[in-house]
Amino acid sequence: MTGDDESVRGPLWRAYRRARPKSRVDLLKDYSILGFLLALFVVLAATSNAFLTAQNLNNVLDQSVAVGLLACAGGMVIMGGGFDLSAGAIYVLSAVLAAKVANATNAEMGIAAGILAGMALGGVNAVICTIGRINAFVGTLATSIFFSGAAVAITGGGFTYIDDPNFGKLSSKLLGISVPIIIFALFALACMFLLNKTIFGRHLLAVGDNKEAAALSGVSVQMTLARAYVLSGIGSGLAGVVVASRSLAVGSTAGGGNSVLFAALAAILVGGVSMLGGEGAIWRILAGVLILAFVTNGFNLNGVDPLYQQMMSGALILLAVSADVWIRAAKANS
Amino acid sequence: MTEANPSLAPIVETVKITKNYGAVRALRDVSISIGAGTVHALVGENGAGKSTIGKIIGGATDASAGRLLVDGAEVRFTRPRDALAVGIAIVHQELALLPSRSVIDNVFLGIETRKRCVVASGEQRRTFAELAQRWSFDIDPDTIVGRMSTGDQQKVEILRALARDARLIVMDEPTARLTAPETERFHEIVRALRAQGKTIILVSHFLGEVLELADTVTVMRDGEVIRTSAASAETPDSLVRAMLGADLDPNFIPATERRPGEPPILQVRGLSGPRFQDVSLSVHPGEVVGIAGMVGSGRSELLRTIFGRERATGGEVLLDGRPFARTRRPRHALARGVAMLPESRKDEGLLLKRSVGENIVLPHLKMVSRRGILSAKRAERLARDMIERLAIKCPGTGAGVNALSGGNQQKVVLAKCLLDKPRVLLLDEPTRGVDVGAKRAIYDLIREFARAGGAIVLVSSELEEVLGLADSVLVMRRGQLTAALSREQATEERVLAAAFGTSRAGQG
Repeated sequence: MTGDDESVRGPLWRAYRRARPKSRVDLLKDYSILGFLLALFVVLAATSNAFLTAQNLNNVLDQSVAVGLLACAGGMVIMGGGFDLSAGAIYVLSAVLAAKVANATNAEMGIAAGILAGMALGGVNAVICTIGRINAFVGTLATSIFFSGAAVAITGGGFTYIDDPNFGKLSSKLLGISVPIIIFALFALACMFLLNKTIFGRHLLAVGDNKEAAALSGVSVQMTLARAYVLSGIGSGLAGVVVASRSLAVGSTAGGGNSVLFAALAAILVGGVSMLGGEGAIWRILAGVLILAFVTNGFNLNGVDPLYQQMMSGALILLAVSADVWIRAAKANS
Repeated sequence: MTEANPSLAPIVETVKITKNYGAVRALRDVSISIGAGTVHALVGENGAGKSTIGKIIGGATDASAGRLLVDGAEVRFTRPRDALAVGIAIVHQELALLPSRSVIDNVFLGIETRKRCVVASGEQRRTFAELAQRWSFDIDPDTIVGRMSTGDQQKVEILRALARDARLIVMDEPTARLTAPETERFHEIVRALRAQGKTIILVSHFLGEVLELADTVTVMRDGEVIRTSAASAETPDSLVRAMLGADLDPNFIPATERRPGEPPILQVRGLSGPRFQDVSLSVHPGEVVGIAGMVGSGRSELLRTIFGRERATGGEVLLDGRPFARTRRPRHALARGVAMLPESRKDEGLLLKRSVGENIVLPHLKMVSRRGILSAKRAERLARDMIERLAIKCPGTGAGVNALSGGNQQKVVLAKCLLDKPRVLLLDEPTRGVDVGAKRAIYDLIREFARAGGAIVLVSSELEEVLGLADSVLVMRRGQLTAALSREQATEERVLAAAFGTSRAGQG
């Protein structure tokens, strides 16, 4: 390829290359996902007057918080070569526990309990999938079913209403931005920091890329993966309390949890994270979350049947994944 | 080239076959004629090309140039199925069976007897019984293959070839993983196959076995045929002489920096594992201990056990005279200054999706971080230093490691080992698949390391490498040390004899 002389590019480009020195495949991936997000944004802004309003954008983001939290944390697990199918169930169960504890004590204790519950349930996955040597899909599918059952058992199947209105403060607004969005942004930043700036992040990508090479380099494969599962649990717990705070009512059905889980997986895939582990970026997952959220929003604003939204989401995943595969194949042949 | 059995029409002939793997030439103008109904052995050192020609005949890979004739007619195999269609089957070194399926499922995999769409299991059982009886294999068709011994698994693989009416079976190192009684039984099977008119191509490291079983022997070296002759005209010594390569590269002056009187840094006492037994060795500062032996002789497992990646079943490892924890893991070894360069850089050495810099600093992240938070600058500086020191050719620390040449990738793995100034280096095939320039550079680094007082254990299949670099040479065969030779005693003949288990194995 010509025109690759670094000196003819601007300083911004050089800074970018220094920060993310990577192959053309990755660059193309970055460009294509950003380009798609931008194009989508422009098209929606042009076709709907309601789209580009603070109110609407705040709503879109607010509604993506649960999916986004699960996507960031779940993406980290996948980058480490694991998989967490129980994130949706943990999200439901920790919301239920948060509600119960809040009703027994107060809102603050309830919120803390929800997050801690997510962390502990993530710990259960960690033990099963590392020390227990159970395959990640099998192990977390089993815990997913177990946790969902536990949520129904605790509530008796119906809704649990949170009595303390203070719990609802978690979904109030701060400077015009809803607090859940701020929580999500902080969590995403924390994930970025962990992935890019810490030993844990390097170890996680190493384990996801090549377990044997990682172990021979002195990495504790199991401890690294275990931390990722706990992180995923924390993300789900956060999502649980945030959503509970909106309506102050918590449902206990597995369906709600699983639809959030699948939306998160969709965002991870659209964000170009390899299901094989070893690569991926939080910002691309965020782009994936936004793309899917904008598509839904655009369809709503233009009055399209929700059925088509699902079909569109499915098509987008296929498009993102196959673009990745084809770019790599073309690159390998050249 | 002399024809051993001119009376027999050849079943397979290779005519000037050449095979290139990238820039590496694995075979050059190989012409071999396999007589129908004979046992034809291919011998040579590791990397001589004998397995490659076996794979080409069996359709597992295709030739870059040259012709392959079956029954006098030219054929082109692009996959094993093509070879099977004309009656040629391969029994691989690493057995290719479905471990969780039964014997009968494995034998008939892909050629199931069917009635419409349903497997006719009754009929299949009868066929199996006939086959087993004809070749007198007493195997229960319902046993799960993964629970069988290696010897029995091999029988299953042979049965699989026979069930496909194979006329010619290529056997690649069939006895490398067998116990002595299993080997004996295997030999009987080969004789029975030959008696019933089957042709066998036997790729083997074991010269005694070759001379016992084969009618014809072809000796290969560096991808070329040295000679083909009747087995009765050969002795183990004549074969070893024919297999020996060119004279030693005069540049390979040994380090011999060993300082007398200093206590050993690394001592291994009576170490045992699943694939090696009772190995003892000691390495002094500035000393290079070479371990020669065939692939599969337990050398890599020995290194991995010393490094803590595999658990020892007995014996101990001492560092500076102090015992090394039995429960050590690689990170403990690294913390005490023991580094290992693993056998396969792609499977065990590198993160192929990550950058050169990330790979180099991976084992040393503590050095470039505070409380778990990395300093990108320090990591970058360390990686750049290593890239410079080892003259790794790459666009920068951020370059993807998968884009590098084999030699430069190997240097990256070596850089991982050398970064934290270890005292003991365990090197497993340090120059496998690298070009000549990188080879020289790696040898220089090894020598420099020894000169600075480091201790090295060097495992290599390249005899010249071991003899050129090592101050003392140990030879492993089937999990045991069969010879310990000083620099002066270590000649190619002696080492090969000990590795192949021929009469002149040195003990001392």
